[in-house]
Amino acid sequence: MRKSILLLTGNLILVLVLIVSVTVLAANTAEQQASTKKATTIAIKDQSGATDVSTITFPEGDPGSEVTQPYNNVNGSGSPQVFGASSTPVVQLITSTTYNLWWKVSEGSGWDTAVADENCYITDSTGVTKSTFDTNKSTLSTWGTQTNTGQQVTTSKKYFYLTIDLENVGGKSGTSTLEVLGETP
Amino acid sequence: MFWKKFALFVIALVVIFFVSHSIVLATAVDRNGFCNLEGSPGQTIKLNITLEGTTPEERTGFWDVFYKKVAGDNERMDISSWITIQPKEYTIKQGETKVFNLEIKIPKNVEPGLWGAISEEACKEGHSNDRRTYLIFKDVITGGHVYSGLLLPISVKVIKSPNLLVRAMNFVKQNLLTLVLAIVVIILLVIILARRPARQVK
Repeated sequence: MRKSILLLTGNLILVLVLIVSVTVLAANTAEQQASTKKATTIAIKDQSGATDVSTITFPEGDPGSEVTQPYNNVNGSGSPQVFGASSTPVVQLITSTTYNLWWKVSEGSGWDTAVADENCYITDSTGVTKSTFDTNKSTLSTWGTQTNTGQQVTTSKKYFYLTIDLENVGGKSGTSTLEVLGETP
Repeated sequence: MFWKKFALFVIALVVIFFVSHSIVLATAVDRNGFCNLEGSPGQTIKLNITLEGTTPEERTGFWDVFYKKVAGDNERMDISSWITIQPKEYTIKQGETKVFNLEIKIPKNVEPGLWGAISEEACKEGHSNDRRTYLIFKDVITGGHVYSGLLLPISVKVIKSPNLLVRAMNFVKQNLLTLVLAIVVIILLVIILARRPARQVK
């Protein structure tokens, strides 16, 4: 009987030694700290970069022509996009980090019958000519598909220009939604 | 003169503080990708993802899944059908956080390996060409038509289903201390119970 009690006591001591040693080993650590910031979407702002924009409107154009003077709902029709030496973008894309720029245009109603293509260009330049735009633009002719513009938005590359090429049929109008998406490069 | 300069300095600091904080961006997310998630065939990986509203106006948005098709891709690249997120639609206000439940259900019949991207580096900067399947969220000022959002890459490392022995070993490893203590208690009980009948016989 004594042997059994001794054996049991020995086992208990062994278990205690194991627990204590694990505790001692666990305490032998040095604290490190690190943190990550949250990823934030691109803000679509008016021409001054101050106020959020919710809609962009293209004025009426001749069938088959390119409409180059869209305006946003904040600056209004009196301050449309302008190309030239002192160009004005339709909106500014504000971001705190660099993103690959994707975009998607989805048919609302009648967009497909009124618009053939849509083009975009983002730059840090304030003197964007139509020729510069045409050389660097990304074009969408299929609606409803996420497409990589091949361009990047950065803290300084924020002036966003848009044009549409109208279909050859007159008397059409349409609406669509524009998506501007960022991807970590 | 000194106090005048000091006052101007303080005013300048206050102006800089407010100007730097007035640049409000759009919706924030707590993760910029979900790469190399591990699971075995038939398993469902469950995760949470949080959005935070930062703009003064209420925004309405939704989640979407996207497969970036590249010529030469094999069947392992498109795992969009494995992914569900709830709730799918949301509205968010400034200062508000919303938690979404992301579930990735790995089919039972898939082979082990990497799915949804061409390399394990896909979430790292400079590896955008390695990504194929994305989770996307996008939102707009309620009533508007100009959305902004982010593409968050997803990839899954499918591992072999562990057999029963491995599962048992893992269970023992995870509960070693509890098991040892349970064994000691059982031994004690056995000894105590074994001693009682001996006394009765005497």
